[in-house]
Amino acid sequence: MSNNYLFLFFYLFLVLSCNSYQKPVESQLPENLDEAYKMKYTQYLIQGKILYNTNCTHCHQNSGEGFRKLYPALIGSAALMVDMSQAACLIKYGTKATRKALNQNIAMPAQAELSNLEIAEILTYIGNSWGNQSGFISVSQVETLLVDCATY
Amino acid sequence: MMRKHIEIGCLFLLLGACQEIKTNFELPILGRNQIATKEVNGIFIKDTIPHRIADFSFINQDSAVITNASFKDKIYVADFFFINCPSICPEMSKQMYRVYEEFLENENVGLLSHTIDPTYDTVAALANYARLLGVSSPKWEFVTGDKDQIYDIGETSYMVVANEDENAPGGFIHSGAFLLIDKERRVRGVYDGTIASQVDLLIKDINRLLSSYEQ
Repeated sequence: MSNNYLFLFFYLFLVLSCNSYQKPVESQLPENLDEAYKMKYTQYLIQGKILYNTNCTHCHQNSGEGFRKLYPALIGSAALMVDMSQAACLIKYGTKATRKALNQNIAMPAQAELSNLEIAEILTYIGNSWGNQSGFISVSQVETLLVDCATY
Repeated sequence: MMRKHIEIGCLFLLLGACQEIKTNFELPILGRNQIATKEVNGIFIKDTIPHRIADFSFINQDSAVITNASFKDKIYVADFFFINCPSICPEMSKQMYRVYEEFLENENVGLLSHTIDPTYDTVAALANYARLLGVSSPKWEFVTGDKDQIYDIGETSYMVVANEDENAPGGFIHSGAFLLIDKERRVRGVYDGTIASQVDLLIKDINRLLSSYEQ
């Protein structure tokens, strides 16, 4: 009997080893949040991930690692960590808005069709995933961040 | 005892399922054959001519002229892309880069990426793209040239869609196909350059094609 189980486990092991298992990337939520805030935060992270997968993964890749020097990594990105308005402007208007700072790279396309809410969700997701810790970005924050895009 | 045999049999079956099925076939020659009629001493002779890549002349990222002769005695992989492509090109570049790395040391293999947006993708833009990607000629040629000539060779020689389309993302419609071309300028395989498993197959087929020249 125990021999049979041993075989069963061995088969299972073999079957599983045929598939490559990808570890899911967890987004991080700060501790000690009140329930309502935590729920909204989580909602933004989930929506942000969906939007990210549709609009951003082609270039920035599934886990924000980017590709070669063509598509910058979002992990530890200065635009997300230091100057969030640069990230917001890049998403909305592409590199035309930030041409001065990024003239060495290839252009990032504008995504003018994204609403401020969607940008907030994307920023919240990419700002708090893969080790990034930029905290929650609200819609009203995005409105402020987008005010000075022309100056880039 | 019998049961034991069955169990061991199952084990081998499962082990086998993890492996690729080994095949020993020759890659097909793709495209429509042409029947050519020529007159020899007053007698009409019919001859079958396989589909081949037409003559071309483009400019690469280093401003060098690239023609069919640049791929003489080489097999190569061709594709069509443009730098500001928001949809499938980033993935195509990523997958083509895998092929680049795999055959970096093999001078019998080349890569040829045609831009379908020659207005924007100038020689300087292509050079910048290659630099950011970290690749160089002659292993990987990025070429630009006369727009109509690029669209024409795409559709008639490589048999893929490449054209302007204002409704497509980025303003161009194009296939994400990688085409495997042999030393006789014949198409030997078509692969989806946006799917990793298809590119795995391409890499295998390149090796298969290379070894067919060694026999």
